[in-house]
Amino acid sequence: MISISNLSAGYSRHAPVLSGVDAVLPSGALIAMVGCNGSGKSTLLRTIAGLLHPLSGSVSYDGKQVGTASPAELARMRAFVGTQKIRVPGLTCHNLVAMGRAPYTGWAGSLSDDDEKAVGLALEATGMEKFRDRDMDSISDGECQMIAIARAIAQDTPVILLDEPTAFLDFPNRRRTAALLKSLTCDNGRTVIYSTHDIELAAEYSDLLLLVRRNGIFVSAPSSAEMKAEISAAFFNTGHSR
Amino acid sequence: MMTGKKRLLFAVFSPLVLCALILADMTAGAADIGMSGIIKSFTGGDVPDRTRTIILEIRGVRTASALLAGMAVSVCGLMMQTLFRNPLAGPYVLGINSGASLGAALFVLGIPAAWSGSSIIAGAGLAGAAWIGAGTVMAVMAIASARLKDIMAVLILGLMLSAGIDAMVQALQFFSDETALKSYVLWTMGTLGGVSSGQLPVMAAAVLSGAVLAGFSVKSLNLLLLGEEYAATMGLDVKTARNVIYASTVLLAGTVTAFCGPIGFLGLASPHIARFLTGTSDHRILLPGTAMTGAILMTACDILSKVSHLPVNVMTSLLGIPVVIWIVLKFRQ
Repeated sequence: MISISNLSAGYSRHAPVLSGVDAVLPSGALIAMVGCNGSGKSTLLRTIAGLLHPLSGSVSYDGKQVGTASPAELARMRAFVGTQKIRVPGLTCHNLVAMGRAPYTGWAGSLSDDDEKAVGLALEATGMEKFRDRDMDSISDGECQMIAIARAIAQDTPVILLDEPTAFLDFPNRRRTAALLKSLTCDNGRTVIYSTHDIELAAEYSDLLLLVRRNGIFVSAPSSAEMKAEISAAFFNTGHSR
Repeated sequence: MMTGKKRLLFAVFSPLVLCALILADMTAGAADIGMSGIIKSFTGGDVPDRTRTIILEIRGVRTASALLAGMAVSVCGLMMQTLFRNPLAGPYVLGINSGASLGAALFVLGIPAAWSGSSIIAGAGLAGAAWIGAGTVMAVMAIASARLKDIMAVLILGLMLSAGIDAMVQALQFFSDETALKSYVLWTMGTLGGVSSGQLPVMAAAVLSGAVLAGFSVKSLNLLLLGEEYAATMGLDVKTARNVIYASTVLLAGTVTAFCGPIGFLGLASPHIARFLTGTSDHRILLPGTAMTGAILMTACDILSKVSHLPVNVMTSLLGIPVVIWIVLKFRQ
C-alpha cells in the first residue's frame, strides 16, 4: 500500500507543481496516472519514486517513508522506468536486465545463480529471451521498452513505477506493454503505477485511474461515473471539477 | 566476429603484445644493449655496471613510467566518458589536465626554490600541486555538470576553463625566470624520461591507488551507463560514487600530468579502442581492457618517441587524432 499524505511536490517551494495531495493506493493494482501536459504527472511519479524530495508531506510504502530510506533500501522497495531510451553501444539486453539485480549483488556486480535465474525469468516474462545477446543499440523502440521493463521486473520489487512507457510505441506495442503491466499485478501481486496519455488503453487495462490536475488528484475505477465526469472536466473543460 | 571470441583473442594476445613492446622499449636507446643484457640486468647476471645502471635506473624506470601513464590516463578517460555519458570526454577535453598543469606551473614557476631542492621533495610537491589543481578543476566541472543538463554546455565550459587556466599559466610563464621557465616548458612537452628512480615509487603508489578506486567503481560505472537517475533507482549512492570517481581521476590524471607532463588524446582514444577490441561496455571487462590498451599504446608511443627523438606527446596526439575523427564519423552515422 502506498500512502501519500498532504504532499506538496515540485521544484520550488514558492511554486509547487502539486500541493495538498492525499491518497491511498492499494497493493497489487495497476494504476494509470493520467492528466494534461504540465499537470504534474511526472513530478508526482518521481516524487513517489523518491527521485524528487517532497516539498512538504510524505510518501510511504507499507508504512516506510520514502524520504527516510537509503538508496539501497529504496532500490528494494520500488523499480523505476523513465522515458529515456537506453542505447548504449556494447551493452547487451542481458547486461541491461542484469543491472536490475544491482541491489542484491556485491561490489563488482557479479551475478549469483539466483540473480541469473531472476534475469532469465524477467526476459521470459517480457517475451525477450531471444534478444538476450543483442546490443541495446540494435533493437527497435518497442523492444527497447520491453527490455527496460524486464530490468524493472528483475529488480524484484513490490512496486514498479513507469513514466510514459507507451509513448512513441505503435498500437500493437502499446497494447502489448499494457497487457504486460497488467500481468505483473495479476501474476505477481506487484503494484504498478504508470503515467500515460493513452486514456482509452488505461481505462481498458487499469484497475484504477489517478487523474492529476493542478487543483489536486482524483483516484477511482476507470468505469466509475465520477471518474468519467472528472476526465471530461480535465480534458475537455466541461462539467464541474473538484 | 563473435564478441566472446573477440574478447578471448584480446585476453590472449594483448599481454603478449605488451610484453614484446616492453622488451622493445627496453632495447631502444642510444646504448646498444641486447635481450640477454636486459635479462641479466634484472636477474643479477654478469653484465657491466654501466649496462645494469642503464637498464635498471634509466630504461626500466622509463618503461615503468610509460606503463603507469598509459594505464592511468586511459582509465581516467574511460571513467570520464561514462560519468559524463559523452564519447568525447576525457581529462584533456574537460580541463583536468589543465588544472594539473596550473598546479604544476604554480609549483615549478611560483616556488622555484622548492622545485630545485631534493628530488623526493620536489617530486612529492609537484605531484601534490598537480593533484590539487586537477581536483579543483574536477570539482568545478562536477558542480557545473550537476546543474547543466546539456552535455555540450559542459564540454564548452571545460574548454573555456582550460583556455582560462592556460592564460593564467602563460601569465606565470611571462613573469618567471629563465631556468624555471625552461623546466616548465620541457615538462609541458611530455616526457617519460623525466621520472627518476626516486620519483617512480611516488608515481606508482598514487597511480595504483587511483586504479584501485577505479576497480572498486566498476559496478557504479556500469550503472552510470544508464545515467545518474537510473543508477540511483537501482540503489547507487550517486554522490559517493561520484566522489570516488573524482578522487580516482585526480590520482590518475593529476599524478601522470605532474610527472610526465600533459599526455594528449590517449585518455580519449584508448577506451574506444578497448571497446572495439573487447566488444563490450561492461566495465568489469572494459576497465582492465582499457588499462591494457593504454599501457600498450603508451609503450608503443615511447618507442616511436625514442626512435624519432620527438616528445611523447607528439606521438600520442598523432595516434589519438585519427581515433577522434573515427568517433565523430561513427556517431554522425
